[in-house]
Amino acid sequence: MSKVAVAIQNLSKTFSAGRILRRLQKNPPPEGGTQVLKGISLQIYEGEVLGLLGPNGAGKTTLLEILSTLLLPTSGQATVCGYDVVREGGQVRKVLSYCPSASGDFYPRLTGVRNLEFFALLNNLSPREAKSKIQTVLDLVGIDAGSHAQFQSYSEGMKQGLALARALLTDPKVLLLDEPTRSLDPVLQGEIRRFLREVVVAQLGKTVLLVTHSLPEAEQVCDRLAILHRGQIVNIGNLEEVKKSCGGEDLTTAFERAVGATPCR
Amino acid sequence: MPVAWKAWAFFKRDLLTDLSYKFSFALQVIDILAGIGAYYFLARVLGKAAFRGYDPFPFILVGVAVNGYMSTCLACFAQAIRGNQPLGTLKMVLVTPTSPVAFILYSSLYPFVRAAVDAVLYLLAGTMFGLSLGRVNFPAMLLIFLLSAVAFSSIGILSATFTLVFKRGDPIVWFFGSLSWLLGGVFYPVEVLPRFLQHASQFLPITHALVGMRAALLGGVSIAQILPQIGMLALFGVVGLPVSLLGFYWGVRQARTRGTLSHF
Repeated sequence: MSKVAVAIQNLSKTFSAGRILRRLQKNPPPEGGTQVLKGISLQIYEGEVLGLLGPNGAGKTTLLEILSTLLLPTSGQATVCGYDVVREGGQVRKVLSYCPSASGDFYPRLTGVRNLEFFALLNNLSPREAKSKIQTVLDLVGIDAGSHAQFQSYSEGMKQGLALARALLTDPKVLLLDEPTRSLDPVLQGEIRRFLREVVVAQLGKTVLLVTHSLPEAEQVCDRLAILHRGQIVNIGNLEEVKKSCGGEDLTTAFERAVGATPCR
Repeated sequence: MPVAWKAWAFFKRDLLTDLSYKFSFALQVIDILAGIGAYYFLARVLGKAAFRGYDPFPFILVGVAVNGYMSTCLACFAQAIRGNQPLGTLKMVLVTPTSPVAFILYSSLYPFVRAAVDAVLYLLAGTMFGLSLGRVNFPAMLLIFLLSAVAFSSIGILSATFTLVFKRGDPIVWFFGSLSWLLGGVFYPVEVLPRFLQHASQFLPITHALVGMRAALLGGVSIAQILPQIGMLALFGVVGLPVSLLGFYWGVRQARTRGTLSHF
């Protein structure tokens, strides 16, 4: 049995405005707030790719942001490589990398290389290490030719590629990827998927939590799948288990049944 | 070494961004020269007696240079938050092993250096209009400069906290900026104000910074002669900086709880 890389236990997140803010608002949100995650528990094992599927608003990004220490949970516990995401956030940030779904989160007037240099140094790489690592990851994601142009001139695909390059800069133990192949052309999508499977997991032994809306991608890349719906895990297991538990012949049918688009048998 | 590399990363990021706007430096030099010309002609119609024994032109020039530096210190921390939120880069910096406090402090490095260069440019350009810098006491000037930077920064960090939590309508920079302009002695000595306003001006760091800086730059006084100003500025810094850093830490925690780190 592999070691657990990410352990999530009874994790909940409720967004609520403070009392003062509620008083100031004309139509304040419900008093108890909006519960986005409802007591989630799951484990991700070392060297595993867990695919997180779910409709928009299911709480996928909230879960990723809690794991990456950007958000504090309301209750429950989560650890990454044994470090608690609330109490040991500094340690957690050393062992994981987060690639968010929005690909515009770079400095627009700096080149791709300068942006990567900036984030590499913030991740404790020396300037020399940064230089060699940047070349490696740019080669991997295939945007070397455009890396000396300002980021604001990049196509959506190049932006996404650069975001993935940044996530790989630091040799993290755990990768949190929020739709990493979104906006990429089919050829590059295939390359990234192969790269994740063959290099990131098989060779480097990384643990990956992959949020995706692409069911073929989930089938192709993930060892196990978890379907998140309205803040709860409604199905988890390997591809066959997920299909079987909802009586679906394929993943699309199983997914639709799990999120209630069509009822489970 | 990671501390130095990180500091350099922030400085380089801001320098390269600034340099990518080709005309900004040229326009700024023109702006400074035009401003100095205006102060020079204004000073010519003013008498010497009311300016604590200094010529009006150097008096005003030092006032404007220090006020410009203070304005940067007050605004740059909030600007670091405001500039990174819409880009989404605030979140991406905070998922690296770089603490929020380090982020806010490193982000101020380039604006500080830039504002210091501007202040020096002001004074150097002033020499073309007859400003004499022959009596400068450099150790005293540097000490006042550093202590004022810390005192101004503690207000600036509070302003950044306000921006992080409430997003817009920051009253802190407005309050200190306006009062410093009115009561701090930028254009005239505080002695010309009514008595109660003179007392009020003592609660502003710029009042002490200006007295000390003018004495060091124009009067050539020793550190011992400006100890009261040094003491007051040190007090502002020793009390203000820990309070503002704790406040900022609380603000980041609030934003992490409410999920508003990238809201603006």
